Amino acid sequence: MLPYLCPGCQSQLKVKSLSCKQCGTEVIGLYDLPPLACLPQNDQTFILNFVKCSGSLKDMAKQLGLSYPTVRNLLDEIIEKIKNYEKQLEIGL
Amino acid sequence: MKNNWKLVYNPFEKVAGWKAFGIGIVILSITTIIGYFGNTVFYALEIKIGSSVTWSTAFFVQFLGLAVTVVIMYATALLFAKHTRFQDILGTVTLAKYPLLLVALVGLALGKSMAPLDAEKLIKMEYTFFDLIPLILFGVATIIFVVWEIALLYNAFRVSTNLKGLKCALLFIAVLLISEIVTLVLVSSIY
Repeated sequence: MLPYLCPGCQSQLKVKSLSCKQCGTEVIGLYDLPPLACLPQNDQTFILNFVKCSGSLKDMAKQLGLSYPTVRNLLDEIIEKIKNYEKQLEIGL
Repeated sequence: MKNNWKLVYNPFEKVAGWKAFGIGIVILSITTIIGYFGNTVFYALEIKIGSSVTWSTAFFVQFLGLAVTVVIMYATALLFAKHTRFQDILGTVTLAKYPLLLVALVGLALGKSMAPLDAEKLIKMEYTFFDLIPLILFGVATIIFVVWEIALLYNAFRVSTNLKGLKCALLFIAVLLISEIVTLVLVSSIY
């Protein structure tokens, strides 16, 4: 699991360097993490399952043993988190 | 154990929509039948003991109260929430009334002991404490089960609309009060 929050101050982490395993080239900079990578593990698992269910909340509800509105509420909360992250990116936090 | 407890006060995380409506309508019908035999009538949050009504009246007022709550809650959801499905409001609100079954059972069990009590004598305090024990027991049980029903209705509203915090609580109180008033006005204008 990719860490996305600073263990010291809980701020959003950024990517400082990326390296190629093949040739060892290193790309150094200060890159924003993609929004999905900034979600907690359980939210990422939810999104993966959602995509695997072809975006069907009904199928998700069956798979998780939850009611339809509960699953829809979970999805709404994830959407809210992504929107907040995008807002943070826009204002350059 | 924790999950079982959660099912008692918030079954809607597991069941909602038409399935909840199916379960709820069966429980509500049984409640009305038991209530009929125990002379207990239910409409909205009102519980009237000692009223002998016809079958049709018992069922009509019960389902009128349900319909009014569902319509007002759904209208509120349309105004203040997004993505709310009608069947979720209908199902969760119907299922939220299941504690009334216990009120009906208590009413049936204590009905005969409460039958000789006369309202006029009750006001004049002509009864001893022991004469009033069944009435007190029924009163306490009713309060507990109605509070439980209100908690379930709140969870039904919260899960179906995904509203949160103070906004959710205030809208829920408004829905409950308006439903109660509308039901009482309708029932008193019909009967």
